[in-house]
Amino acid sequence: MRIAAIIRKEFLQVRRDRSMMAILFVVPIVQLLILGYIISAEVKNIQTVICDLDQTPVSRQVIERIRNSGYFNVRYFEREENRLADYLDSGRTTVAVVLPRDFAKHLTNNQPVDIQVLMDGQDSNTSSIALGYIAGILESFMTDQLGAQLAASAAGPHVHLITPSIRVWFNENLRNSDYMVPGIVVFLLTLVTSLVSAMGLVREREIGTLDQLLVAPVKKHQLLIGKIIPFAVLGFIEVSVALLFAKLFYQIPIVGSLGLFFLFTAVYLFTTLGIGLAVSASARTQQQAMYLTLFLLMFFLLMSGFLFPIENMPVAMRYLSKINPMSYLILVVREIFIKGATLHHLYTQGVVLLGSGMLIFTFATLRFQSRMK
Amino acid sequence: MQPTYSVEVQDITRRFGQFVAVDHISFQVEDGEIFGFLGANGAGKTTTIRMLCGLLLPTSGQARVEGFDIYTQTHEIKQVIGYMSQKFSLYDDLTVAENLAFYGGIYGLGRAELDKAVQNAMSTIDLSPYMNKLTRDMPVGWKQRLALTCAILHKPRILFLDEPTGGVDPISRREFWNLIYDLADGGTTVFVTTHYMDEAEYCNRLSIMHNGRIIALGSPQALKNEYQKNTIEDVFIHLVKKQIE
Amino acid sequence: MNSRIWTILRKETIHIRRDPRSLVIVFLMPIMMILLYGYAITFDIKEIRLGILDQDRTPASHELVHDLTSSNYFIVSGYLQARDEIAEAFLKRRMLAVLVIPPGFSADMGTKAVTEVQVLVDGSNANTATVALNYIKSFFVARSLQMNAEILRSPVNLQPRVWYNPDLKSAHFIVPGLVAVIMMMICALLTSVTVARERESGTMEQILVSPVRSIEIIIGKTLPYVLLALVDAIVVVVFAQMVFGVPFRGDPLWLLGFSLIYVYACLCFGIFISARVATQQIAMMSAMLATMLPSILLSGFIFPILSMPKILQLLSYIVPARYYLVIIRGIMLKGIGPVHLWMPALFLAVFGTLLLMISIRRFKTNLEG
Ligand SMILES: Nc1ncnc2c1ncn2[C@@H]1O[C@H](COP(=O)(O)OP(=O)(O)OP(=O)(O)O)[C@@H](O)[C@H]1O
Ligand SMILES: [Mg+2]
Repeated sequence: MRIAAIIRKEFLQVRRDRSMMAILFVVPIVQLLILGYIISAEVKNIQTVICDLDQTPVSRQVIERIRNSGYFNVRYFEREENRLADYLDSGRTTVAVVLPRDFAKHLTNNQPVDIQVLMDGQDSNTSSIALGYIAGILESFMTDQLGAQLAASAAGPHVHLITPSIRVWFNENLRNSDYMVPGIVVFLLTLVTSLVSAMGLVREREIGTLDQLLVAPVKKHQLLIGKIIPFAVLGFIEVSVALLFAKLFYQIPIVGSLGLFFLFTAVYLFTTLGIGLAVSASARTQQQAMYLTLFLLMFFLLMSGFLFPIENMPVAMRYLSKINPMSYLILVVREIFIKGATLHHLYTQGVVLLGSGMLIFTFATLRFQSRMK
Repeated sequence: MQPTYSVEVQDITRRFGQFVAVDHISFQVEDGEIFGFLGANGAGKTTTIRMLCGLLLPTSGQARVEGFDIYTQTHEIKQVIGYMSQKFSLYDDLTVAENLAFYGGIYGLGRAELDKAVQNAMSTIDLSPYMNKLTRDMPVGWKQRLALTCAILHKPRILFLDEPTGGVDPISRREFWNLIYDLADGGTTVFVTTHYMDEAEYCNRLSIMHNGRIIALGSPQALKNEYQKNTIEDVFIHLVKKQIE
Repeated sequence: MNSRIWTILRKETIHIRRDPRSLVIVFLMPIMMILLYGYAITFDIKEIRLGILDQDRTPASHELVHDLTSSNYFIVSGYLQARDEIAEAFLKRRMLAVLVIPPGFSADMGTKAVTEVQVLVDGSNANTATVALNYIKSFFVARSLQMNAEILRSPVNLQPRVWYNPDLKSAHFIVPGLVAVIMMMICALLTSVTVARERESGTMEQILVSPVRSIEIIIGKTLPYVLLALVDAIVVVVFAQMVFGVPFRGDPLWLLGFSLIYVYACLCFGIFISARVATQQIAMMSAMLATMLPSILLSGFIFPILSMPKILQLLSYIVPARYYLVIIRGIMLKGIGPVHLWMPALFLAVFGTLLLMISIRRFKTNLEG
């Protein structure tokens, strides 16, 4: 079997090649570990300075609430309001809270009080989350104050409240990793299969062994299949290893069918291997192949909804993400794992992935064959 | 008159981990001679040359090149040697002229000196039809001539050639050896490794290496006489067989 | 300049020029990154897609739904008829949350102190779900307060004043940060790949037998990339101002000065890697792992360092981009100068020099393999 000979050779090479093993396993697992831990929606440890101009038990109560919230790290206390700017300028803190003079007095007299918060807004995301935390803390403080007021005024019976009773489905504990980690698995699959297949072929051409294969009585399509199948198998191994790690380290749930997941993966591989093939047919040197793949992966990564939700992007970006096959698979994997979605719910995604796979793979094959002539 | 030595090697050894690539060898190369290194693949020829060129430190032993110590005076050695490695190391995406300018430049040749050196080289190797072509588009024989030219632009006192004629046709090879003779006539010492037995015959003296050791050393005629063979090829096969037994 | 350095430099420039495809990518990549990062990174959720299951169907319940939709935070994406439609709606991703108004809602409103409605949230994206939860909670708090306005008063007002980036635009934060990533990419990744390339083709050996000194090879080979990096950096900064309106409050000359220090540190990193690798593949993988990924993930470029696990926080101290981000954001957004920034700059300089000293010694002997 000629194809078998090529496949065997390909596996031998991969096994012997330390850098290839690194690409295949070390890098992905490091990424899985780092990414899984840093991508959390929570903002913690916000460096804070408090300027308490009131210095009463009531103001200290607010400070205690800020400290005990678990989000803020109150590092400094400052007596002079005009010195607060330096804390932000030097980057020592990102938040400065000012409790005004007569804070307690005004509260007991039922006069409105302003609490000033200075916020380093550079990191817009962190800042708005932090502002939200402070608002929440003040809201609960206020609610307790209201409770006290109500008790004092005996107005209880005349008050009408609407409260939402909230229930979260699918991910009851709102664990962020359940959502992010499946995305990482897909990203790794994309990275590894496209990079390895792009590099593998170019390298062979650079060394000159590709000519050797071409003069052998092997048909073009046999050569192609022989080169592609090992990469596909590697892709499956990769995904399985990544999934195992995800399960062990992050205990992600897999509610839906694993079989369906692998089916989608198989369809998706036509896309990534096709990209690798197309890159290797267009690049003359390994260097070019690397840069080209890197470029494409960067696009895939950002436009996939993996890190940043697509819904909030500007319209043009949302359309861009629609032509990004990775965004479909990420969605599919999340839906299967977290919600247990079935093919019935993921029909559109399946069709799109199949279509893109066939399109890209055919294009790549044609390019490859024309380059071989 | 006492001969002066271009290369003096004393008991030099190089290990890679447990493996001994060069095993306590000693020899001298006289000024102006063509010294051949013959040996099977993996005998340790390249390793020896790399140590002499300062690319690799010996594990033990002493050696001097043009009187400079290979441990402490590598920088001085580099001024006086030329080296052409086993694969002709040229930049594929540079033209012939650019390659020449580059190799001249890293030896500190000024524009005028470089022009003169190139002119000089051209009298024997006429590269002019290729000057503005990319190196990757040249035939192998020409690449090898270009590599040699690059290696001698700075007029080295000793030239190390590591299998300079691999993959080159017989006519080109003969011409290449004529160049080597010219260089030797001009006083350059030439240290050359080869697998071709006819080339071995061209050398003034020859050393035969096997498994990191020198198993014979002398002029081609002396070796043939000593082992009573007609050709160096027979001498080589005889010696290697004896070693294996 | 020393003529040997000049020779190597010229040759390197020819390599770059002869490979237009790589060159195009080197210039396209930053521009694509600016556009993608600048527009794509918005964590804030604008509108919650809400499904309504109104089992009450009274003017009171209609009013509640109307108030919800007019608040700008919610958009009604469908009306459900029965409870068992909810799961299917979530599975089809038609809505993020469903508001269930139980029968007797309006009756309760008039009589009971506390009226309950039910909200079901699709929690698969914890981030979005949390935001949705908070929106919903504060909507009902506000509504309750408003319903009892005569009796209750909210005595404490939060007066936020946001500095440096008052409109909380994420592009102002992210785009200047890209300079750090791109310079690292060019100075560390590209240079280590070119060195490895010479090693693979054997030309490095040919250079090493010549009297050129390691430092001359390094300078000659890297200088063209320094120029590329600086040009890219300028492109990014200009783009940031023109397209995203990122302010430039500080002194451009200081930024240039500090950027040179950062470029130096990145180059030293690249050289450090080059001195160790034999093939382009390994060079690229090491450069990605040791420079690119940390610059994106562990530097505070997108993800706040202080929210990371302790061990990753410690690791971030040896990521040069971390320090440069403080510098470039400080100068552009905060308008601060060397008084506040000499520390990170000093660190970059020391860090680079240390790596360089180790690498120069290894550069020559590395051929021993
Ligand atoms: N860096 C290295 N690490 C480990 N082993 C090495 C290294 N360089 C050379 N060797 C080994 O040392 C031995 C001698 O190698 P060397 O290249 O000197 O042989 P050679 O005589 O030049 O052979 P050839 O005719 O094939 O060029 C070989 O077995 C080789 O595998
Ligand atoms: Mg050899």
